[in-house]
Amino acid sequence: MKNNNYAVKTIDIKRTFKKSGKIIDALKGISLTVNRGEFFGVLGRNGAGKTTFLKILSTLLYPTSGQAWVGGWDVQKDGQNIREIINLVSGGEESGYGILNVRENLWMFSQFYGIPSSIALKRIDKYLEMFGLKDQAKTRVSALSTGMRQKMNLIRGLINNPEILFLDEPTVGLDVESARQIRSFLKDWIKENDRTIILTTHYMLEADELSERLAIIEGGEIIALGTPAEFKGLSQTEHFYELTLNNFPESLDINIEGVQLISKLPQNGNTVLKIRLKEDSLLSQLLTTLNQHDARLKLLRKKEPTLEDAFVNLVGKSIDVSGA
Amino acid sequence: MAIDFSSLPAYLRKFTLSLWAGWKITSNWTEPLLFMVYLIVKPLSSVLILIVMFYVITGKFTGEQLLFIFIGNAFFSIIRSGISSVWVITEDREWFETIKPIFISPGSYLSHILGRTSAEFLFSTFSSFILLLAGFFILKLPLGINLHLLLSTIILTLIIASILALLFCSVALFVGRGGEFLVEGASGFLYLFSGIIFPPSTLPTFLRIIAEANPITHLTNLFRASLKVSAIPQVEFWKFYLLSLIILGVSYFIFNRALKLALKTGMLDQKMGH
Amino acid sequence: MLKKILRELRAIRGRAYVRMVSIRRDLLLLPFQVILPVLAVAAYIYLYRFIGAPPEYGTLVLIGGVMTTYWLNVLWSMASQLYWERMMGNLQIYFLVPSSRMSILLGMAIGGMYMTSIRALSTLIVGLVIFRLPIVLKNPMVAILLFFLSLSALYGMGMLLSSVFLVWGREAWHLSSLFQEPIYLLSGFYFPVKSLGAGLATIASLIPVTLALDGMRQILIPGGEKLGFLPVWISILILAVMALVFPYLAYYGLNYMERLAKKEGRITTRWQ
Repeated sequence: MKNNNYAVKTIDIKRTFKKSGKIIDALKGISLTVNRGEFFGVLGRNGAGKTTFLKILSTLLYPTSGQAWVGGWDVQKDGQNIREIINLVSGGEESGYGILNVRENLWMFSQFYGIPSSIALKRIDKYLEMFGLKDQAKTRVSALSTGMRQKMNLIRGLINNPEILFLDEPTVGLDVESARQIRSFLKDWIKENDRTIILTTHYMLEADELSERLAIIEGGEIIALGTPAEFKGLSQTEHFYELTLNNFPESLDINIEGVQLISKLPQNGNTVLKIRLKEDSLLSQLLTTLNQHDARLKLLRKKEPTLEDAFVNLVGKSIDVSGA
Repeated sequence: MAIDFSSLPAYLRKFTLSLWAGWKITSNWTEPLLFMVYLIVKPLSSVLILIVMFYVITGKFTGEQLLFIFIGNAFFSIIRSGISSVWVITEDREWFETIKPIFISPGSYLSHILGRTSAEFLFSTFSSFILLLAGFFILKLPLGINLHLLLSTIILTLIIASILALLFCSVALFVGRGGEFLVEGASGFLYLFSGIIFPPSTLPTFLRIIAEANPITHLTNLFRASLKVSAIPQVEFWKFYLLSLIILGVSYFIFNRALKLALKTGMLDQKMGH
Repeated sequence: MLKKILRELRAIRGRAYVRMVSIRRDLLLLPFQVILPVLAVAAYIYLYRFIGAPPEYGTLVLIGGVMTTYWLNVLWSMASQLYWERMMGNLQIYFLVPSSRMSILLGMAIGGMYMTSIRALSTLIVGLVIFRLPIVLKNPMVAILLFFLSLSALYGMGMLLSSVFLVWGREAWHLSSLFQEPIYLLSGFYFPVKSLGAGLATIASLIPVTLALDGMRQILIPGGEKLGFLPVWISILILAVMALVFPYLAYYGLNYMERLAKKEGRITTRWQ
């Protein structure tokens, strides 16, 4: 059955794996619709089920139960049709042959889509230039840096000009500048080509900057769905503060009802705490506790809620934000 | 070139761990029983080929020539473990991508190769032992045992296998899938020039010189003598040990040079799959 | 339809290119392929001399040596190549693209066959020139037909075997390795297959290379008819059937194993 109204639709997708005799539920029933032309983010911690979800959508893995359609095609029955219109790029992937150079590798992949060489090579050269890899065109892939390698992987994903592009943590391990370059490219690409992108990430900044809509996955389930602005709005009823403290005892466990520690980072010999309060009045109680433990307050700022705050609010735990 | 003895424990630890890893990688893909069958079927089939060839021409399953071929082939599967070590480079670099962490961990990469070679050596020795038992009980081959000579020969074989491992791994650092063909080609070379399935006298003079100069030919003869199927060759053991250790030293030097070159050219961790 | 055919042809070309180019770039690959395999063939020729066999047994070994190169190409460079692809992280890409897995496998085979044929030819020339082995060409057309039919059947069988690697990794690799020598034995690479007795020789005839060796030896060796197990025309007939059946089975085998691998989540598992 082909239905073209949406890019992706899933109904109660479940996936289990057997590991050392135990059944592990990687996905516990994902139902979702992604519209055509949408930049859709899937946010979650490591092991939340993001990659499993993308594997199912890109026809690499069957769901244990439930149904999914990509471009209107059933992922289990119409894999061939789906493969005509999609591509997938994973962060840190190692595809290609070390014996070939960058341009040759990309040309080889283009041949699997039946793209005539003249068109493929023009497209490859264009992207190599855009991503600053022109000088590496004749370099063997085994000699590329991580960032260059990942850019090459992204070009591989674009080689067939896919209608729907799946990106599985595409900027993982990249330096700030490379990650920014990729994000900027993707924002332009989706607009100019009227394509759909489904991006999984655990970088808040990336999800916030790119996604028109977001799903937060935790423990194989979607626990929230909405726009980044809506997520941030969810946290408006809460109160966020950033405290810069001197002499903060490492072992101190802030155990006050209605006070939640979001993050704790060292900074220039001080400790910066991000705190969420159920109500503003709890602040004085918190400051008293800190004072009792000889922690000296150097700076106090009230913060606007971020996507990370919303994430912590929903999941109850923080996430690695260092990479973006 | 001097070995830093203070790091000896690290060398030994790496050797032992690689021996253990070699055992695991080779054996843990299946049940122990099936793995035993695997260890036996390959050498058994190769010796059966030789037995059928012999039978096609002579019409019998006995005779000194068959004994010569059988024992030579059993020995070959042990010495071949040295060449098979080429796979260590392929696995570390192309497959498991462990070459970098192994290389930078304390102890030398050489200890790792020797550890993996020793694991292969143990498996091959076991296969050969089973093959010889089959020859003794099924083909009724008149085998005996000179334990002292057998142990000396096995130790020498381990040294020679280590030499082969170092030399072939030195080449494998610079080739991709060529390593796969290197194993096959080098096995062919040894099969031809080591008195394995025919005596060097069968070869034309110019090739016989290679076979007679090849220490493995003498080692093969020692193995036959240790099983009492031929007279003990007139070899002064201390000279043989000395020569083997000198060649081992030279191989160590070659391997180190190759490793340095691989680091210089950046080829150590460069995948070359096709 | 034409677009699809062109896509498959391009996929074949794309994958074959990797192998072709590797000959120039993988240091020493060509010398290893050309010179070293001759040594094993020479060893078996000298073994026959050692046990007093007539010279035509040398030719028998030589033909076995030539066909060995193709068998090894099928086994290691096509069937178990998917293991390499898995370990290198390429396998999942092959399941993301719309071109057929059979085209990609065929690309590997054709690229590999280029090198294999250089190797086979060098083995043949070295064998004939150095060992001055007796050879006749009683019926060149039949020999060529036999050769190409056996290659078609053999590569079809290779594709079928490759499907195993979609689900299994190291286990399948070791099983390939396990079968290498027994198939040398059963197919009679170095002796006439009829020496195994009618029962075993019949079972061995399920492997295309057995029939090819048996037929070619009858055509190329002086007095080779007496070494034969089956009349050449029967071998040709069976090989023609195999050349049709094996690719067909491979198509279904690959599809079946792909479904199984996706059910069990094996396609994207790199190390197993």
